[in-house]
Amino acid sequence: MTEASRPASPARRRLLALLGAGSLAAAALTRWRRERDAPDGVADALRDGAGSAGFERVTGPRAFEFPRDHAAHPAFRHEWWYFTGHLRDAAGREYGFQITFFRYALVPQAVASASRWRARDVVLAHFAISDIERRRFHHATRRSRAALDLAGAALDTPRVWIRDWQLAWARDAGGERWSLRAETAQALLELELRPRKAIVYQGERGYSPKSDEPGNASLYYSIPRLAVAGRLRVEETASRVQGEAWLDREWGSSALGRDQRGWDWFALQFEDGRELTFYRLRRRDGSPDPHSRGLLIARDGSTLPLTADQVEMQPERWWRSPATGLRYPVDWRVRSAAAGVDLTLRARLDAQEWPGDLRYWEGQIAAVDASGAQGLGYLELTGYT
Amino acid sequence: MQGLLQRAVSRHLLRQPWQLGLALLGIALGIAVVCAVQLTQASARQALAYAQRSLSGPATHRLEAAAGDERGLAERDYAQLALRWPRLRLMPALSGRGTLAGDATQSLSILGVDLVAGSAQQGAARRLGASVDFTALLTRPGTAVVNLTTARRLGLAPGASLALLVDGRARRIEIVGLAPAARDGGPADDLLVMDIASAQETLDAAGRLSAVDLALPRAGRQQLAAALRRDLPAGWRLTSNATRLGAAREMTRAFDVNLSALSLLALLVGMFLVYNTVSFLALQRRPLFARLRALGVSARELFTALAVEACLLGLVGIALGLVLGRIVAGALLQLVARTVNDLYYRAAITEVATPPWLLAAIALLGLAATLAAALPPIRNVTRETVAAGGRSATTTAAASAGLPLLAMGCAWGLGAALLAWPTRALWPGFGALFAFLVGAALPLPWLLARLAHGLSRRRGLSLPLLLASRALAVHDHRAGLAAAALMVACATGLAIAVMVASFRVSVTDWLSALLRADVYVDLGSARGSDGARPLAALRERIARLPEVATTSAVVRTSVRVAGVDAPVQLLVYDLPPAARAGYTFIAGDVARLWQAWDREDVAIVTEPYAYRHEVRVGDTLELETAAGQRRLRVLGIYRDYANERGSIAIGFETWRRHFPLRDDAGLGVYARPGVDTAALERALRTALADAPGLRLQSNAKLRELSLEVFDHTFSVTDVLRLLALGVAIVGIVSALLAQQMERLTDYALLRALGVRAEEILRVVLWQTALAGALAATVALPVGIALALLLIDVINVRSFGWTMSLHLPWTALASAWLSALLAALVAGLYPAAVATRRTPASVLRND
Repeated sequence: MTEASRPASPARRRLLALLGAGSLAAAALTRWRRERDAPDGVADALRDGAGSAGFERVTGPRAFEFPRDHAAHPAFRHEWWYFTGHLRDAAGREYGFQITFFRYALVPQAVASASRWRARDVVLAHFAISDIERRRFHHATRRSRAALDLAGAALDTPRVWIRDWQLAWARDAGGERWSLRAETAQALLELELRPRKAIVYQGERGYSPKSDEPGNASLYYSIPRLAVAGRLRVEETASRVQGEAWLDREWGSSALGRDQRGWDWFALQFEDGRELTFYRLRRRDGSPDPHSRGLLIARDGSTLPLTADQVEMQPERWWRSPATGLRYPVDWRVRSAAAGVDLTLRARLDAQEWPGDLRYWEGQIAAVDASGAQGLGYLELTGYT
Repeated sequence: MQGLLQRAVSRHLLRQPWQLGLALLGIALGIAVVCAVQLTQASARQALAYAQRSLSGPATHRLEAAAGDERGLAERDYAQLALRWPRLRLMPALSGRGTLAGDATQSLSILGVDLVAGSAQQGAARRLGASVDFTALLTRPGTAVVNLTTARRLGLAPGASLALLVDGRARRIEIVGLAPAARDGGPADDLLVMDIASAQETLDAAGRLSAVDLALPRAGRQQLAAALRRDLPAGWRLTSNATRLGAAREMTRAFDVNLSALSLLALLVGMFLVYNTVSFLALQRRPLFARLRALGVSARELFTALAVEACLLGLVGIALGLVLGRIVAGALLQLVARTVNDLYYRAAITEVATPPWLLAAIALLGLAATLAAALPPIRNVTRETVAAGGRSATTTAAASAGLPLLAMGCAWGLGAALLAWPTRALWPGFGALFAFLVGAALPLPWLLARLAHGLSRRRGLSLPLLLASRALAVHDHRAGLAAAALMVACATGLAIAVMVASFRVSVTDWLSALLRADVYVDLGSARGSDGARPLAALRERIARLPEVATTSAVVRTSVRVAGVDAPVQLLVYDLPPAARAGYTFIAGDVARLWQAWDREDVAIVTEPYAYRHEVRVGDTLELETAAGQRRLRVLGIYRDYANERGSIAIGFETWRRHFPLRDDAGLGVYARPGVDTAALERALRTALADAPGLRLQSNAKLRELSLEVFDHTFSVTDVLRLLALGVAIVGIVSALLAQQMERLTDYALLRALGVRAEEILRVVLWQTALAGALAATVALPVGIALALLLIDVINVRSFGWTMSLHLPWTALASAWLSALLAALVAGLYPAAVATRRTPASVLRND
């Protein structure tokens, strides 16, 4: 497989988004420092941290083993469990949700100490509910060191938690089952998720290189469709909900390039059973990055890798955040002859911005193809000013 | 016209640079003292607020150990609570202290917080700023951040290493970043902020927390707090920050009032200087004013010109005073910071705060004082008729005693009324103090003139004395006013000295009575492997030493008492009979008390506690224990100067009946007869060599340290006393200079008539000596009376403790002599001027 045709990884978008590398973080930090709610520097420490020295590197494809690989990989510096999805209650009200758990190692080897707070790992979680009908976006973060049983990412069994926010995996009579729980003053989400499609491997059998430099890569797989059922409370409204979700799993130890300004990523689940995911990296000088990659997944689960020159993304409408003043392209036109699509993507709610440590837009979108096929998805936009 | 008049009137001032300079100095000094004290207080208050903020940030409440358990909270309990209340924002903290390895007087606070928890908007880490190496802070043991102020003071840069002693153990701290100064929202001064893991390692406190701050949402806060209270681990307590801040403010209130009163006194003396200068300058220019009036200038226009002049003078003096005050505040702050740290709360105060509104208020006060002092003489001089103005500036002594004595009577009446007012407030007390002081000063000019008049009629006076007494008898009030100012400064100084001396004697007596053991062992934070302090075990080991006769033990903790907002210090004593004699009881049946001690639920309280909470013997105290409220009967009130907020003392057995058994605090060790303290100390050191963190202190050393703290506390008052005396001396110099300048013609005439220069010198010095002697003599009884007021009213109302008056003869003698000496020194320059100039030149110029 040539370099150009190697299926690339949307992993980078996540890595960049959350570790805040590159100009995004630099520009944003400079800006925030002048403002009242400056970041607290811990995010930077997590990003730059101990560097990648001392951690295991990803150097090529390897065999995955489940459920072992659903659980934590502490030999690597960072990893995440990234759930996004779509919910509908008995009354037909629609919601989008995002629950993400991140694990960052502060140091390669635990420092011996009498203090139990001298933890090796930090766990971070983002939780958001997009209430489409009431046009509200509820979001919250938690951050805790993996210590005192208050937070952790288990090794033996897939389980990640910060106090009562939790993600877990189990096998029961109905097959594999993920469970998610998060609660804030405004929202409660308790879900059971069962895979409806097989795991797909991003990049080269799950090996997702970040650059030509050996070891600068991650291991990456997704479950493109899970059936979801559970309980949702938004403000005073509590209801049973059902829907579908997408899981991204990725881990690695690589440091990141600094030539990207940001990226535009989306993952769509069509009603006809197909899924499409793609990310477009934007370089600092405005030119498109040839590392942009995507994947079309057919009803039967077979995959078609997509490269940068096979997909064209065109912004169609911009929204300015009243909270941060940043402008985001929330509606798009996406065309790809290779994938056979001509799509219009529309944000189902404009205000789905994360104004916290790292500012980005991540929210539920609706997609309509020229052929009439419809779907729901999630869109992530970073690096906008 | 007014501008021209202003120039005509004011040009004269420039020809009197000394007078002008002294007037400015007077205003400046008065303002400087007020400004210094106010700024110092503002800084102390600000430091408290910063400390509060840097410790708790956005927190609304705090969780801490209920009974003041010095071991704090168990992190295990914290983790369980955090899991039971997952949505609460809990901010655990561990605090402690260390001293610089090379300099035990440099003490630094250590605060460990969870830098990882929280989001960017709210985390503790945000206040540390962006330039901190968080990676190091989170991953390297022994790393810390200090704020810029502290870094500058200690000469620390990022990467610097700091040798610290924590409970006797050497610790190396690496500075990995500088946070903004406290005023810019950074952490408090003299505070090492660490990650909680590093703090536990540094403080040797694995598994422990000092407190957990938490931010409860505004909506439903009360209900949430109540629900949380019901679910707290045993021994935990939830307090609101509003309550805690209030208690801390209360602590400094008494201290504030004392300093304010002293500073206003300095302003009063400063006002005298302004009055003196303005009247001198006005009198000097009377011929000019008369000419101006004859030329058609109205009295009103002249008044305006002089008032503008006084204002300008005041403004320049105020500006100088504010600058000077800012400098003095820096020095005062050092003294106050120690006191506040020693006695009140742990908040480093190193930075002088200069709130603009405060400076503006002081400037306004200064201007008002200047005008109040300047307007009466200006009014006098502008009201004079054209014809009267040209004549000599002297007037005859006020023959009538009526007015000054009436004024004195009024002032004293007001003072008595203020004292009789049944209140515990401090201001009426200080009001009475001022009224008595001013009342005593008012008739002094009249008294001086009368005495001088009487003296001048005596036969056999030497010529200089005769001339001097006549000059004082035929006067313009200024010498008398100078004497009054000197008396005020001197009497105040004496009163403070007597009060401090009485206090010190009482404290010394109290310490000697109380400190009965030969050596004291402070357990510091020494702990057994289970986190408990090895008091019982240590005590047993010590008791077995052949040198030891017996031991006593005290546990210092705190307790909640029904009806009292802040926690109250609880002293738990296990006393051998020898130690019991150390308590001086003010009320209670001592025999009955010791009989019931430990057997029944009884307590004794300190005098300040009894005063503050109006507790009498026989009353019942409701103490909060882990098992609910327990009632203890008060059987005695005893003297104590250790804690102005008051303490409750109970017996060891009583404590064990109601509180979970814990071992900490201190031991008193009594030597066997024939064993000297040094030998006992050596034996103890050898026996306890394996227990780190213990501090041994001999009886003598402990007493010395206690008195050292006492002396720090009053060093500020010493400084202010000297400043007030300084202002008074400037006042006398200025007054005499003015007087002697006017007399230059007379002296020249005398010289021409054959009076020798040294006799002129003696005339001048006799005048100042007579004024000084009168001021000094009157100052003695006035000072003692004021001291009584300070002891019996101000101290009782401020601190709740009583003491007996102690008159140190040295203080009396030195007050008298220093007043006289000040007067003589003040006379030197005017005397030199009077004798240096040749009669011919003076007479020719005239």
